[in-house]
Amino acid sequence: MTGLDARLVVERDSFRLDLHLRVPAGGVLALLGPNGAGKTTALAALAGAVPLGSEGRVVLDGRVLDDAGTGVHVDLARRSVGWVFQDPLLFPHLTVAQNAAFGLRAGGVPRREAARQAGEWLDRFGIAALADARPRAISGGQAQRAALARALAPQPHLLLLDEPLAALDVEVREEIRRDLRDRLRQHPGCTVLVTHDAADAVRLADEIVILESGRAVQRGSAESLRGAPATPYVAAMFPPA
Amino acid sequence: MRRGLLPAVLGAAVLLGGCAAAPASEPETTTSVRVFAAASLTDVFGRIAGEFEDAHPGVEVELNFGGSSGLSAQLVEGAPADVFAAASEDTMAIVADAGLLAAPPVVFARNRLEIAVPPGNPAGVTGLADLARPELTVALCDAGVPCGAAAAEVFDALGVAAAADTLEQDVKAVLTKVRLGEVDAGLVYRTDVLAAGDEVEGIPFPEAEAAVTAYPIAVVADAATPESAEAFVRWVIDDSGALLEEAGFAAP
Amino acid sequence: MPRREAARLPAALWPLAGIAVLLLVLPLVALLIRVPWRDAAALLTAGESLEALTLSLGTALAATGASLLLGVPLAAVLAGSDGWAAPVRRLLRAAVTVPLVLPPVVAGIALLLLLGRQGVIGAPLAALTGVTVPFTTPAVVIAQTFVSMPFLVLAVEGALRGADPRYAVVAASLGASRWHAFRRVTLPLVAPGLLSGAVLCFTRALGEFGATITFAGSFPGVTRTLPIAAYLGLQASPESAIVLALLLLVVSVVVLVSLRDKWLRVGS
Repeated sequence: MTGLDARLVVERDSFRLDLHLRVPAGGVLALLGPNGAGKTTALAALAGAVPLGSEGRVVLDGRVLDDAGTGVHVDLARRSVGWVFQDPLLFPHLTVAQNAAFGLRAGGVPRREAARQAGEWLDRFGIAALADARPRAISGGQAQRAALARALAPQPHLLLLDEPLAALDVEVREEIRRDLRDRLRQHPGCTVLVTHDAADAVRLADEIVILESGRAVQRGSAESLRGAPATPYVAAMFPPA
Repeated sequence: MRRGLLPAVLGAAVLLGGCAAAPASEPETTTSVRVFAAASLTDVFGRIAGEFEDAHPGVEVELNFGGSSGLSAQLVEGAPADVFAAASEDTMAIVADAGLLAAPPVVFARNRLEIAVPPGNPAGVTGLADLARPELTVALCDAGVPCGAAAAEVFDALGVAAAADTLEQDVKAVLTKVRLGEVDAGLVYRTDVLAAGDEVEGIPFPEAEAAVTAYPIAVVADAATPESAEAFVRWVIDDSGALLEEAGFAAP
Repeated sequence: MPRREAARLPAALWPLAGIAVLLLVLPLVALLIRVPWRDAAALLTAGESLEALTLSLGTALAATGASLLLGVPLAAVLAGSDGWAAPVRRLLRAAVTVPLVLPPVVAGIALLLLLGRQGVIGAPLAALTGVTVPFTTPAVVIAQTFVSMPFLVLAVEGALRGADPRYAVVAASLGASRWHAFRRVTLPLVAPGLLSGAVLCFTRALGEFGATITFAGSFPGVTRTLPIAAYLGLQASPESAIVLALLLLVVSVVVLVSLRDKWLRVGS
C-alpha cells in the first residue's frame, strides 16, 4: 500500500487545473479553497470522471488508474474509489442496510456476509437501529451517516468526500465530523476531502492543500498555514489564534 | 368513387369560394339527391350517377358508401338520405320494418361469389372444394356480414367445411389479402374480381348459385327531394343495365 | 393552492371545459344506457366472448412484455443520445414517434409488406423455414407491440431523463458494473415511469384493432381479439357488440385505476 500519487491536469475553456497530490496509505488530505478553485474538478479527475490533459497521471497503491501519456484509463467501477457527495444520494428503493451492503454485493460478497458487514458499518456510524428504514423516512444527518457507511463498507483504496457535511445543521455536523474522524483514522485506504469549511480540514485531515484558481498555493498542517499564510484567503481561513 | 360526401362538401366550398369571381355560371336551382349505397356499388354507382346527372341538368347526386349493415344502422338512427341501395334484402328489410321507406324496394341487380386467387393461381385452386384444404391459406368474410353469410351458404351447398385462416370484416379486406398474395384464395363477389383488374384472378364455381345476392333499392320515406330521388331510382332500375353488367352484376 | 389557481381561471374556460368533459363522458354513458343488462351475463359468458377476452388479455400481456424487453433498452439509448449527430438522433426519434401517428391500418399493411408471405423478410422466412407469420397469434402480438411500444419507450425515456445521474455515479463508485448499476439502481429509480409506461402500453395493445385485423386477420380463438369481436358483432348483433365494448371498457378502466392508486402516485 503506497497510497495515492496523482498529477491532475484538466483544461476546460479558460480554466486550467494543475495539481499534484500525494496521500500516504491511511492518510487524509483536505482540499480547501474558494468557489471555482477547481476542488470538485480535482475529485472528479481522481474518480476518472473527467479526462486528464497531457502529463496527467493517477497512481493508486502502485496501480496506474490514468495516464494521459499512454492512454491508460480505468473505469470508476474498477478503480476502488468511493465517492460521497454533499447529498447522501441513498438509493431510495433500498433499505438503509441494503444501501450499506450495495458495494459489498457488487464486489461479489455473498448476501449473508454482506448483510453482516453492512450491519457493522451502520453500527460504527450509530445508525444500526435504522437498518430496515427506507431513506425517505430518516433525517438528513442519518442519511449522510448511511452514505458514509455505504462508501466505506467495501474498503475503497481511495475515498473521495465532496463537502460531505456542508448540508447538515451545525450540531449534527459536529457529531458526524467526530464519528467520521474516528472511522477515517482506522481506514487503511487514503482519503481526499473537499471542503470550504476550515473546521472540517482541521479536524479531519493530516495535510491541507489550499487550492486557488486551479493551483496549489500552499500545503501543510493547520499550524503551518496559520503561522505563515501565503495568500489573503489562507489568512482569512486560518486567522492567528 | 366519383362523388363521395367529403369531395362534394369540398367541391361546394370551392364553388362558393369561386362565386365572387364567376357569378351565376351554374343553373340557378340545383337539387341534390343523397344516396346511401353498399360499398360494393362504389365504382358502378359513380358511373351511373355521372350519366344520371348528364341526363338531368340541375340534379346533383351525393353518394355515401359503406357496409350495408352500417348504413342501415345510420338510417335507423336518423341519418339524412333520399335513396338507399343495399347489398342484401335482409338489410333493406330492417329499414323497411322501421317504416323508413317511401315505397317497397325493387331489386335492380344480382351478384354472386367467385373465388379470387393471386395472379398465376400459385396454389392451383380449381373449385370451392379446394378452400377446404387445410394447407391452403384462405380468407373469407365473417359470418356476421353479408358476404360471409353467402360464403356459409355455398359451403353448405357443397357439403364441406371451409378451412379459413381469417374471417374478415368486409369483402374489401378479403380482396386486399388476395391482392397482397397473403392468402391462396378468398371468396369475394364477381364484381370485386372485375374491379381488381389484373391484380387477382377470378374462378367461378357452380355452388355460387346457392347464394346469389340481391341488390334492392328504394326511396327513403322522408326524402328531402322525393321527385329527384324517384327519378334516380328509376334510372338505376331501367337505364343502368349496361353499366351494371360491365361491372359484373347480373340482371335481376 | 390548487383552489386559488382554479379561482383565477378566466370564466370563459369553464363552459368549454364542461363541454370537453361531456364529449369525453357522454358516449360512455350512452354505452352504459344501451347495455342489455338482462342478457349481458349470457352474452359475456358465450364461448366467443370469453375466447376473445382470453386472447386479448394474453396477447396484450405478451406485447407489453415484448415492449418492456425491447423498449426499455431503446429508451435508455434515446435518453443517452444527446451527444450523437443530430440526423442520427432525429431518425431514431422519428422511428419511435411515427408509429404513434401512423393510422393503425397502414401499420398493418406495412407489417404485411415486411412479414407477409410475399414480404421483405416474410418471403425468405417462409422459403427457408416454412413459417408464415400472418393469421397467427404471434402476428397479433407483433402488431400490438408495433403500435404500443412507443408509448412505453417515451414514458421510460422521460423518466430516465428526469432521474438524477449521480445515483449511477455513486453505484459505479461502489464497484457496480454498468449492467449492475442499470439493473439495480437506474431501473428501480424509474420504476414509476416504467410502470405507467407499461400500463399505457398494455391498454393500447388491448384496444388495438386496425393493425391487428390487417396484419393478423380475424379468426376466433387465434387472432380475433376483443375489439375485433366487438366490431364484427356490430354488424351481426349490436347487443353483443355493446356488451363486448363494455367488457373492454371495464378491463381498461380496472387496469388503469388499480395501478394508478397502488403505484403510479408513488413516483409523481
